[in-house]
Amino acid sequence: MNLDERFLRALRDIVGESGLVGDAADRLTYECDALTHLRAMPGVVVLPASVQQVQEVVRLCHSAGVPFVARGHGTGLSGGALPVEDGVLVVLTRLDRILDIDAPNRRMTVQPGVTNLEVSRRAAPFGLYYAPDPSSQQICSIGGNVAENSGGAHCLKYGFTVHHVLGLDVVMPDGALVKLGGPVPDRPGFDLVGALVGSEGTLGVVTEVVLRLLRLPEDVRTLLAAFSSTDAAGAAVSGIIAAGIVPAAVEMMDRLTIKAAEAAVHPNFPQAEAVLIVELDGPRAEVGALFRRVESVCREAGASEVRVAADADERARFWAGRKAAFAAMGRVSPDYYVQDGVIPRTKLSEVLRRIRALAERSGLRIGNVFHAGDGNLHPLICYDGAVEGQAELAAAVGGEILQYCVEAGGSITGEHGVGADKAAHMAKMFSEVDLETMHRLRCAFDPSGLCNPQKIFPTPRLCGEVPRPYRAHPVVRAGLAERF
Amino acid sequence: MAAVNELAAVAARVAGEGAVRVGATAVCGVVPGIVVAPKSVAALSETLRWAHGRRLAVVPTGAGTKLEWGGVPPRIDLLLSLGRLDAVVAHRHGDLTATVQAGASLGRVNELLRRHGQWLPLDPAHGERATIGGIVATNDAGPRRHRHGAPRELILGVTFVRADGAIASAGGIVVKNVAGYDLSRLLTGSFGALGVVVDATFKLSPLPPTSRTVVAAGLDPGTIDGATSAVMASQLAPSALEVQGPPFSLLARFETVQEASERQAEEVAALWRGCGAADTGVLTGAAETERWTAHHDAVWGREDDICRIGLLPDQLPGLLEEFVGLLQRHEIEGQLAGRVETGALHARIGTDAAASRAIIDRLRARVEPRGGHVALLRGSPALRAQIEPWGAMGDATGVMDAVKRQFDPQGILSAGRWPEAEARA
Repeated sequence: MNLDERFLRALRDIVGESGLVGDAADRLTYECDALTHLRAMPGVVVLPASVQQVQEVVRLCHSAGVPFVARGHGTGLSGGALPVEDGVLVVLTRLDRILDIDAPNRRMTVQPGVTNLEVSRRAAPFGLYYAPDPSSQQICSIGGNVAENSGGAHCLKYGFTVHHVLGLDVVMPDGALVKLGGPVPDRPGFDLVGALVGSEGTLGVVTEVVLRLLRLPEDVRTLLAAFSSTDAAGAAVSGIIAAGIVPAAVEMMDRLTIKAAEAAVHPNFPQAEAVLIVELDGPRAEVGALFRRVESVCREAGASEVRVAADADERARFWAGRKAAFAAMGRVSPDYYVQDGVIPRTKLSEVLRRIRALAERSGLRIGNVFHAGDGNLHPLICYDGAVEGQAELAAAVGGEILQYCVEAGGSITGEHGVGADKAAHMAKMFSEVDLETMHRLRCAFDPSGLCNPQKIFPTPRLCGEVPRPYRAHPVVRAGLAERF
Repeated sequence: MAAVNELAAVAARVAGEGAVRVGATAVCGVVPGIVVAPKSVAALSETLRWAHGRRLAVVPTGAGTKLEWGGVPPRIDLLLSLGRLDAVVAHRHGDLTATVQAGASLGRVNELLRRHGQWLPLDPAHGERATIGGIVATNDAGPRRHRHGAPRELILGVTFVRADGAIASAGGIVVKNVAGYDLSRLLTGSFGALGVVVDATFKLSPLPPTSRTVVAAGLDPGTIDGATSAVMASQLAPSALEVQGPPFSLLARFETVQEASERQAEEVAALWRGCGAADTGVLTGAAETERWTAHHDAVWGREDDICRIGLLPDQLPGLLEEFVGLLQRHEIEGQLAGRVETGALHARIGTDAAASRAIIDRLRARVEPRGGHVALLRGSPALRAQIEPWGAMGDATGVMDAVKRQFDPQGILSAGRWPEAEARA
C-alpha cells in the first residue's frame, strides 16, 4: 500500500475502524468485480455508512489527488468496478436502505446498495414492480445498475435502467452533493440523469436513486420453442416482429448453453440446436390473442416442439434455465469469457455464421445466449486458463466477435458496459472526434480525472483549458464527403 | 443592414449559393440577421465553424413551431435552418429502427414508416409539422407518452455538429447499446444549446391494429381523482390517459388488438361511471380522431401564453381546482391538457401578461415544494419581461453550466433559450 499514513488516518476518522479495510489479505476480496481476469489491488477499501461519509471520503480524495472507484456488489462483467492500483475503493453496500415507497405515484427512493430484486420485492405488496431485471438481479445493486444502465431479459418492451430512473443524488468528484432530476419529470435544464445513467461510475458517486415502478401486468404467458437451427429460431423472431408483436422478452439459447443449463439447474429444456423463450405480458385479452399468433409463427418457422408454461412454477423453471446460463458454463468448461455485443437483429444469421467459423478456426468452443428480440448477443467463450495462451486466445476471440458486431452495424456492449474490459475496442465504434466529444462531458463533471479513471476511453485523456476549434478534414471541407 | 449584407455574402461563400437569405421573421421580437439553410451536413459543419470563429449568435430551427419556446435570445445573428436536411436516411423495419434527418417533419416520417406497418409513436405539439430536430431539442411529447415515453425514451443515437463545427456521433442504430456516454439523451431537451442535431435514430413501434377512446366529460376535480386512481390501480394498459379542461374531461385510449381495445374500453367506462362520471362514452373511428384533434387544439390551437407543468400525479386534483379558481379570478378562458400518470401537463393561460404572471406564480408555489416545476414555453414579450421562464432549477445548475462550457465554450448556440447562468442571475 502506497497511500500515506496521514491520508489513511483521515479516512479512518471518516468511516471508523469498521468501515475501513486496510489489511492486504482482506483487500484481496475487492481486487476485481465479476470479470475476474482483470485484477488490481486497491490501496484501501472504505465502506461508508452514510451519504455524508461518502462526501467526506470523496472530498478527501479530491484534495489529496488520490483516484477513487465506487462499487456495489461487484457483479459487473466489464471491469467497471476494477479498482485503481493504490487508489481508494468506495464500497457502497452499507447504503442499503429503502428510503421511501410512494405507491400512489409509483415511485421508490432507494440507496445504491439496495439489490435490484429487493426493489421489486418491496413493491409487490402494492401490485407494483421494477422492470429492469438483469440475470444477476438477486445480488446486483441498484447503484451498479445505474452505473452500467443495466438491461435484462425484458428490455425489448420495457427498456433499460435509464427508462426507469427519475432522479439521482450524486456526490460529485469534488465532494459536492447535487440532485439531478427528481420524482417529477421534465425538470428544466439538461437531462443529466440520462447522461449519468450508464456512465460507469466515471462522473460521480450515486448515493440516492428515485425509481419508477410499474403495475404488475394482468397476464403473463411464456412458451419455449425448440428449433433445429439458430437460423430457424431467428426466423421465428423475425416472424413475431413482422406480425407487429412486441413481446416482453425473446431469449435464445444454443445447443452448448442448453446443455450447460441442463447440467446446472435441470430446467428440462428440449435437446435442440436452439430454443426460444418468448414471453408476452399485458391485459389478458391482448396476451391471449397475441400468444396464439406467436405459437403459430413458431410452428411455421419449423419449431419441433412448442411448450407453454402451464403455471408460474413452470415459467420460473424456463427462466431459471436461461438466467443460469452464464454460471452454468462452469459445468462444461473450466473457464469462460462472456461477451456482450449487439447487432441489428436481422443480421443474426450472418453474424452467427462468422462466430461458428471463428470457433472452428480458434479451436475454442463458443456457446451463445441472446436477448434475441433486441440483438444482444452473449457469446460464452470456453477456455482453460491452465493451458498456456488460452486466456489470451479467448480475449482475442472476444475482440474479433465485437468486430463482427460493429461491422454489422451494432455495438460492442449492450448492457455490461465498456469498463476496463472493452475500452480498447471503443475506437471500433467511435471516431476520435466522437470520443473527444464524449470526454468533454467527463471534463464537466470530473476535470481532475480522479473518479473511476482508466475506464471507457481507449487512451488516457486530460481535461485541457478550452478545447481547440475543430478543423474539418479537407475532404469534408470540400464537400466531397459527409460523415454518415 | 450593411453589416447583415456583408455577413450574408460571406455566409454564402461558406454555406453555398442559395443557402443564405436575409429578412427572416422576428423570433420573440428579435430579428435574425441572416438565415442559412445548408444543403449538406458538411456545409452545416462549415457554417458553424465559421460562425464559431466570428462568435455569431446561432439559433437552429426546423419548422419553427417551437422556436419561441423557452428564454428569449438576446440576439440572433444566424438562424440556422435544418429545412434542407430532411431525409429519412434508413428504415430498418426488421429491426424496428429508423434514422431520420433533423429537418424531416414527423408527419412525413410516419407516412414513410407506415408502409411497413410501423411508426415513431410520438404525438407532440403541432405533431404533423414539427420536425425531428425540434422534437428532440425540446423533448416534447403528447398523450402517447403514457405508453411510449418522451423522445428521450425512444432515441438510440445522434449525429450532431458541435458549436465549433466538428461532426460527432453517439449511441448507434441498435436498440440496446451502452457503449460510451449517452450524448443522445444529453442533447434531447437541451434546446439546441449543446450542438445541432443533424440526424437521430429511434426505436419504432408497430402501428396498433385498432383504437378506442373512452371519454368522460363534465367532471369535477374530486371525481377526476377517483376516476384516475381507479385506472392507475387497475391492470388496464391504456396508451394514453389524459385530463383536459375546464370543463374537465378524462380520456383513456386503448390501442391494441380489437378484442383487447374493446374489452378494456368497456372496463374503463364502467369504472368511471362507478366513480360518478355519468357522461361517459366510447369513441372510435372519425369521432375518436376528431376528439383527439380537439384535445390537442385546446392548448395549442391559439396564440396564447403556454406553460408546461411537471408535478406528482397525486397533486393533480388540487392543481385542477386551483387552475379553475385562477381562471375565474382573472376572467380568462384558459385550458389545460396533459398526462395524468406521468404528471406532465400543458396549460394555455390567455394573453394578459399580468394575469399570466399571477397564474404562473401561484402554480409554481403549489408544485415546487414537492419537486415540481412550471416553465413558460410561449409568452408575450410583456410577460417575458417580468418572469423567469424556467422557474426552479435545483442545485445542478453548476454542473449544467460546466457542460455548456465544455460543448460550447464561446456560448454561440441558442444563447438565452436554455436556462443558462446569465439568465438566472
